Amino acid sequence: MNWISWVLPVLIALPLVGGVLAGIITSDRVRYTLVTLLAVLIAAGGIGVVYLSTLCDNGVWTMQAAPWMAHVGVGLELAIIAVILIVALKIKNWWIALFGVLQIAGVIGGLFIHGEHGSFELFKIDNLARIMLLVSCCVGAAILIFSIGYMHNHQKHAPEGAGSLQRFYFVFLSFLGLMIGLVVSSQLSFFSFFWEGTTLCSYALIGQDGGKARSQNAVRALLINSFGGVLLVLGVIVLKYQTGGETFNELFSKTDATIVAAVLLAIAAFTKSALFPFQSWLLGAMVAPTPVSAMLHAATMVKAGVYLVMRLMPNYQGDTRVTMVVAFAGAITFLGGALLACTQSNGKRVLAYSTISNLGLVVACAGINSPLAYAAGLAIISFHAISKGLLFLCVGRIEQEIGSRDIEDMDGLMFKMPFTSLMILIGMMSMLLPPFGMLLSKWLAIEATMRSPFLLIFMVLGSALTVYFWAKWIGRIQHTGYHPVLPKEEIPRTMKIALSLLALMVLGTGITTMLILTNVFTPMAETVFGSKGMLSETANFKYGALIIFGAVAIFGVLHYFICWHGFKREWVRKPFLCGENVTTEEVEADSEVRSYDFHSVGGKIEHSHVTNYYFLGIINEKLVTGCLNWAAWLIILVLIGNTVSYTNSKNQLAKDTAPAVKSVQKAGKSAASDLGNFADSIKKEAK
Amino acid sequence: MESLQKIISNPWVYAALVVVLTPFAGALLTSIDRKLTARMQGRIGPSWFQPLYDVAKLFSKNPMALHRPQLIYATLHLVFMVVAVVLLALGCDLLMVLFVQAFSMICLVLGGMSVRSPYSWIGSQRKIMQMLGVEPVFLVMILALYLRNGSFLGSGLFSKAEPLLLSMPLMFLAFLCAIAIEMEKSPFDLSSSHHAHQEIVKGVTLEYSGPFLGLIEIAHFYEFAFFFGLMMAFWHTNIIIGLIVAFAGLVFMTVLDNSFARLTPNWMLRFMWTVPLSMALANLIWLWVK
Repeated sequence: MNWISWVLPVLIALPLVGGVLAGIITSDRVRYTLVTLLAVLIAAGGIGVVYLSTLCDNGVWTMQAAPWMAHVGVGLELAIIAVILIVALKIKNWWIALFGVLQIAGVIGGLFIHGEHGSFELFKIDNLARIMLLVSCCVGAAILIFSIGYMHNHQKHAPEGAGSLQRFYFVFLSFLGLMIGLVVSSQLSFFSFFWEGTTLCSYALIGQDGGKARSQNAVRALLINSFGGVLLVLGVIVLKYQTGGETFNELFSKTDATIVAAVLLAIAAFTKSALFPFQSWLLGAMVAPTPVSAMLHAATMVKAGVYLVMRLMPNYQGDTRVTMVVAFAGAITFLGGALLACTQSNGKRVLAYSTISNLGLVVACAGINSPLAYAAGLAIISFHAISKGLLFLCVGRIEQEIGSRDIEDMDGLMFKMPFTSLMILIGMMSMLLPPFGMLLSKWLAIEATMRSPFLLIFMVLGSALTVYFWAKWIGRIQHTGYHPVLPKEEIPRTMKIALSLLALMVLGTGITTMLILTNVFTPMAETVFGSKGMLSETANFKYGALIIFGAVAIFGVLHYFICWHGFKREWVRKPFLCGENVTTEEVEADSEVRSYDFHSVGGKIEHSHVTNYYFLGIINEKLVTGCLNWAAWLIILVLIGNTVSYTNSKNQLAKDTAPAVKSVQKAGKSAASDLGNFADSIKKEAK
Repeated sequence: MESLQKIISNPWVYAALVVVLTPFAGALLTSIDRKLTARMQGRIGPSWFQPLYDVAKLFSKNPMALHRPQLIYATLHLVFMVVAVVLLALGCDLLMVLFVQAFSMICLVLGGMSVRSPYSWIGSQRKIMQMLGVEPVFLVMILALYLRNGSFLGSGLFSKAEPLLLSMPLMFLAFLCAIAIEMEKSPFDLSSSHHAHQEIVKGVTLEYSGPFLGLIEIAHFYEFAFFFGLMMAFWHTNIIIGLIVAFAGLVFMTVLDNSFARLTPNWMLRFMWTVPLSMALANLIWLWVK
């Protein structure tokens, strides 16, 4: 029966071993074959494990391990921190070194806390882990396939000092393996090991192409995530001290696990998920080759943070006062990310801000802590991963082709690169249109936010802004003149396959969104919260969805026969330019003249070009980022201060819990009093 | 009589009736609007059936277009507007109605952006700015309705005996501003003005003509009826007073349209995100405190 007990370890080991192999192999052709094979195996393995685990009792599969395995976990954790420490010494960054030392001290200190243990739960696959597994394995596999064609081109034009393909695939594959390990780990030492492992991999991948700017960004990523790592270790120690357990399950099943640990872990998750004020590393990570960005944003890394928050929050349903502040930290990121995305013309930065914004929304959902919000969070994690994976890969492909990632340079792309344009349009449409999942999850999230009108304003403004920046981009890509036939696009086969796969996933989940929502995410949320019938209103939506689909189908057919199929060449006119359009002869005579140019004074031919609106001179990115960071730090201080006073009131402030907590207690309290009304109102809602 | 009622209460028949009759209601409202405007300007104004004649004339014209995708967006604009009206009439989830209506607007924007015309492009840019201005107000209004009715369903509007306007007066004012934007009334007629005082007169719909412009005009009828219906819902207990309220809103917008000069998109956004949004939020908080 228990096939998984060996399929799962193989699934984790596969990318790790494959990474080592890909690092050793010198022949490009063999390496590409290996990567393709691994991608197929990972996707198949992921789906297989998910399927097998659903067959177990209660749909939860666990694997017990012998007591000595705990030492292995600690050993691995120490080893990976030691590697980070060595890196820190090599690049002479004393902050990272300090964080490394603190982590090692924490892990060793933790050894003294935990008492005698028998066998323990090493791996566990429940609903949340299943979603994450599917996301990592399927999207990750598509990205792997894409990377073959991309990296092949990339290496030809790589800047001097760039790392080799061996190095790239070694780290890239390990990254995926570590992420798979992370989402199924139940034991905290193993979890921390995988967590630190992904940090290290992201550092190596961001610095892949060498050069000063890239290594600076890589170091920033490592610095911020090491800081998160310290908080993680600290949180784990507090949990262990209070409960004596060492797996997630044991910790939360005991009532004496206080909110202090959860808050430490949540802030660690903020760093990983690049929420404000920790967003700078994810924006800096854009310098890496595109498959890396796609991997960071869609399949691994940032998803680890929200995974942890989603894992934690439902266990603290009684502590609404604190979880609501977590929701605020998410909501401000949702709004801030969307606002800054509107001001960007760099395509990759728009995508990065949009990711940050969506991660904020997931955290907000987790913080709201209701079944409806939880279902919305799960839906956003999965739908976002597929769409964002597709979008990043398309932007990477476009960048290689046109040599720019600026949205304004993508003008008329529909004619130049029809296939890629179609893919990116599918990706973008899925971020904002019905019946795709993102819109529906946002709809659920907004309904769930009704618990707090203060959160609401963030949600409402954020979701309006989201539409704004996507619509601008879509418009730019399909901004073309009349072309009777679109040319065929030259595209490497691996890229084509990967993009088509992701687009199919987007369309498939788009059409079945309603089914997925009611049959998968809703029951999952109900299992976690142990309540039924919380989503009765979604049933009503089925009816609406039917009407939408029906109307679009009927009109689609009509439109096809009348307007598309019946379209005649004679219908075509030139755009209105006050009657001063250039003539057909002029266009044919000079290749520089376009059909939409016009005559100005004295018959001189002028070109008209209107750019998108980016709030230039109104929103200053630096200034807004500064304000948002300030607000986000304030919320984090409120979070910590609130937690401490909360614990105090419960007479549970153990003198040796967290030294870091104590030092910020004062600051947190003053900040809390600053926002006194703010916190009070949250308290009110809690009741 | 009873059998007639039975037939109408069948959701499919009802939906079909809504689809067929709404554009005529919209056309009537449009001509009222035009008559009022004419009287304010000391003219007699066109015939009551003028909007219908206009559309009929558009459909008799030769089709002209810049390219194919442009036409898809015209169709989608109409389809989603019709769906929004039907969903509202059937009492579906209001958030969904709003999203569908917003998508209909996005289609108009994308259609305007798909062609190589600078005027159309500027109009589209302004249209999304306008959407950015109105969406938050609409969302807050629906959330306030939830607080009051305990349901997101459109049918929940009729669950309370007390008229909506009494508990949501500020919301109504904010809603009027939002409708003025959606209906392209001055000073908010930035993307597609009816008057020559704007520097972009038919921005977003500039490159549509003939039957395709006809589709957009029909969508506009639906939209007019949609918002008029929502205004009427503010006094749902009595249809006569409801009509008066909605008609007052209409007159307010016409006066607004005829008494304001041109203002910039940035001003519009700043205004919407400060005054009407604050009013809407204040009203929301009243309901919350209650």
